This record gives sequence, C-alpha cells and structure tokens, in this order.
Amino acid sequence: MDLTLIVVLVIVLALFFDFTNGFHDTANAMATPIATGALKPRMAVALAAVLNLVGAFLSTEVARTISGGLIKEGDGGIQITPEMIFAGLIGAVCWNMVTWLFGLPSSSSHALFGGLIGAAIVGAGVGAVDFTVLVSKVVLPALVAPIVAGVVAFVATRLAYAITRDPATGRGLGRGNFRYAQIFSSSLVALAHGTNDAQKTMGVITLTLIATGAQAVGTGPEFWVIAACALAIALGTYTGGWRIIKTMGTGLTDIKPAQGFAAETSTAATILASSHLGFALSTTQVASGSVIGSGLGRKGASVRWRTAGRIGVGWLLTLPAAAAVGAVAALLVTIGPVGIVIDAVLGLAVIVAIFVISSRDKVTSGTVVSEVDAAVGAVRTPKATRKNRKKKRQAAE
Amino acid sequence: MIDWAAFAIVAAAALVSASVVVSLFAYGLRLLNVGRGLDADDSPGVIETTPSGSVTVVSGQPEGRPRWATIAAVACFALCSCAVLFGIYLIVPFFHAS
Repeated sequence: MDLTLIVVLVIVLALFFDFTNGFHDTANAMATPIATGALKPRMAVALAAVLNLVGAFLSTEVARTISGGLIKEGDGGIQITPEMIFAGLIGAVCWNMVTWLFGLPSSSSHALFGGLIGAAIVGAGVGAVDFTVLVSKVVLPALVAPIVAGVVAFVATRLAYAITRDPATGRGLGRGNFRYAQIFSSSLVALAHGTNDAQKTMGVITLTLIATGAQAVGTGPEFWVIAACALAIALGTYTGGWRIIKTMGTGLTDIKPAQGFAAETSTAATILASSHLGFALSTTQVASGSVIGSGLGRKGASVRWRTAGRIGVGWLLTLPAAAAVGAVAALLVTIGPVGIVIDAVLGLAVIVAIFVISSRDKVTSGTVVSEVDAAVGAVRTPKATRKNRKKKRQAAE
Repeated sequence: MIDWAAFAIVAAAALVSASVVVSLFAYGLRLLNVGRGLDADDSPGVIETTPSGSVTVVSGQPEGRPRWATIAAVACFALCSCAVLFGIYLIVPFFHAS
C-alpha cells in the first residue's frame, strides 16, 4: 500500500520537475531570438514547446543511462528506494523554483543530480556516491562548458561582423537579416534540448518503477511515461520562464541579430559536438557562455559581469544546495510514512510560497518585450533609420 | 580523471562547425549586397550636396546585383541549410542508430 502511494508521489513530483525543467530552459534556445526580435515572444515559446515535445519522443538513450554510475547501484552497491528518489526530487524541484525566482539560468540536471546525491548520502552513506565520477562528469564539465561556448561564440561573432563589414565605409551590410537565420539556429537548440532533458525525468520514473518491481529490470521507459514527460516539459516550456529569458536575453549583454545567430549556432554546435563526441556538457551553461562570448565579440558591446557573476554563483550553489534539501528530505523519509507526508506538505508549501512571492513582481512576455525595447532604446544610435524602423515596429504591435 | 582528448576534440569541432556556418551565412548576406548601395538597415542614407546647392538623399536602394553574386549567395544559404539538416540528423538517433 505504502509502496504504491510513494510511487504515485514520485511520478507526480518527477513530472512537476519536468515542468520546471521546461520553463527553466526555454531561455537557452529562445532568449536570444526574443531579444533581437527574430521571433515574437509567444511564437518563440510555442515553437520551443513543440520542438521539445517532438524531441522527447525521438530518443530514449539518455533515459536508459540516467543513473550513469553516479550513484553506485546493483551488486555490491546500494538499493535505490523510491523514498530516496522522492527525497532527491524534492531537493531538485525546490532548487529549480528558487533559481527561477531569482531569474538565474541554472542547470536542471545539476539540480536533479544534486538532489539524488543528497538523498543517497543520507540513505546509504557517503560511500553511495562515486565522487570521481561526480568530478569528471559533472563538476569539471560545468567549468569548461561556458568557456568553450564563450570562445566559440566570440570567434563566430567576430567572423559575422568582419564578413558583413563594407570595406569602403566600414558599415554593416544586411546584418539585420541574421534574424531569419536565428529562427533555425534557435530551433535546433530547442530540439536538442527536448531529446535530452525530458529523458532525465523518464529515467527517474522508470528507475522507480523498476525499483518497486512494477517493471522488468533492463527495460526502457513505457510509452505512457514518455508521453507524460514529453507533455510536461512542453507545457513548462510554453509557460515560458520569462524571468530567466529576461536575464539571458537582456541582462548579460544587449544582443543584436548577428550576435544572436552566432551565439545560437555556437550553442547548437557545442551541444551537438559534446553529445556525439562523448563529453557531456550542460545546455544551460553552454547557452550562457555563448551569450557572453557574443557580447565580447561585438565592438562597443559590454558584458554585465555583475549579472554573469550572479549566474556563476547560482551554478556553484546548485549541486550542493539541491543536495542539502534532498538530504533533509531524505532524513524525514527515514522516520517512515509520516516523514513522507511531511516532505510532501513542506515541498508543496515551498512551491506555493515561491509562486506567491513571484506574483509580486510578475515577469511576463509583455514585460520582457518592453524590457527589450527599453534596452534597444538605451543603446545610443545616431542613425535615424534604425530609430524609425523601431518606431514603426512599436506602432505595429 | 577527465578525458582531455575528448574535450579537445569537442572544443575544436564546435569551433570549426560554428565558424563555418556563421561565415557561410555572413558571406551570403554580403553577396546579396554586392552592387547595392549601403544597407537600409545600417545606413542612414547619404546626404549629398550638389555644386548647384540642391540636396539629395541617396538611400540604400538595390541597384541591380550581378547574377554571379546572386548565385553565390544562394549557394551559401543552401550550404547553411545543409548544416541545419546535418544538425537534425545528429539530434535524431533514428537516423544514425545502427
């Protein structure tokens, strides 16, 4: 009886995590096209949602290897119980909500790993976690991902500007048209995201079903699990994490179409290279690095390092913070069924509280656009035509 | 501990592929502007004062682009499309699962 209740709780919580994953990561693909006006905000999140939905159905490779040796399982290892997964998910969801409240693009995967690690340490001791794997697969990639993406985006931005510079006058030629390319480059990022991130939740649910004997060992995710996860991440994506889109689209640097295209292409290239040449990198960190790199690449653009620093601190905290929450949740679980109920109630309270706090200063698609317009207006341009074009567009909206 | 060789390959592949795609699209845009005045997007239009004193505004209107430039630009965009298709090919495991 308890077993089925906990399984239902895990599935619900896992799907909610998937939802937060969706709205957390909309910004990775769509912050830059929204910032440059390549796509209207609503259109952009709808496109990202559809691509995430499609992407989730495309592959189950990641789902099959979710635990990936991070937590020692099987022979000589520890038994992963649904209770521990539940506690880990609470840690992951809480941390995702907190970073969303502050508009920080943090890695949802790190939150998930952190939560599970914290729960595993409480449930089975420090020996349950393979720290060598943790450092080589999670910590170091997190450090190098933004650097690689940043360098690639810097070079790409420089190239884009150099090639489209009129040798006679030094002025730009047709740079606004990079907008059209942005639609494709950002769509690629959204699709790649869908094939990766929804699967983490599928993996967690499947792991739970296998652990409780509801599913045979060694089998892949059931179809209803895939469908539910795909829907949850698409819904989350469509809801749009406007806070994070605002940070990435306008908070780090003011993005122009050529930069946006260079940044998205760099993100797509880095992610595809990493997932196919065997060095896994986090989408969020790659995308943030690309935006900063493209900011450094355009002459006259400035990067707001204070915002970048805030994001960096968020990244450093993600894993330990989610682990701490996961550990506390796991401690409560050890009490017994009462602990699970307390966990569920506390988790729900945190989620509701954050939604209430967030509603005080709502960030919606409308706010993001006006922020973008304000940012564009703040850039001093002596060129009359650009201002006119801007006014025309504002009048049309 | 960390596979630096794999890391170097990933970094190099990302750098080369992103640079190539961005360059191709940029050259495409550049070629579309061959034989054209200043781009309407970035130029304010040039104000010229003739010796007689009259003022004319020469804006960036298309003035006829040579055929070779159009063909080359389309080729650049086509190559970019190939890159996008290759990206989709890489993302969808169905295409390369043996």
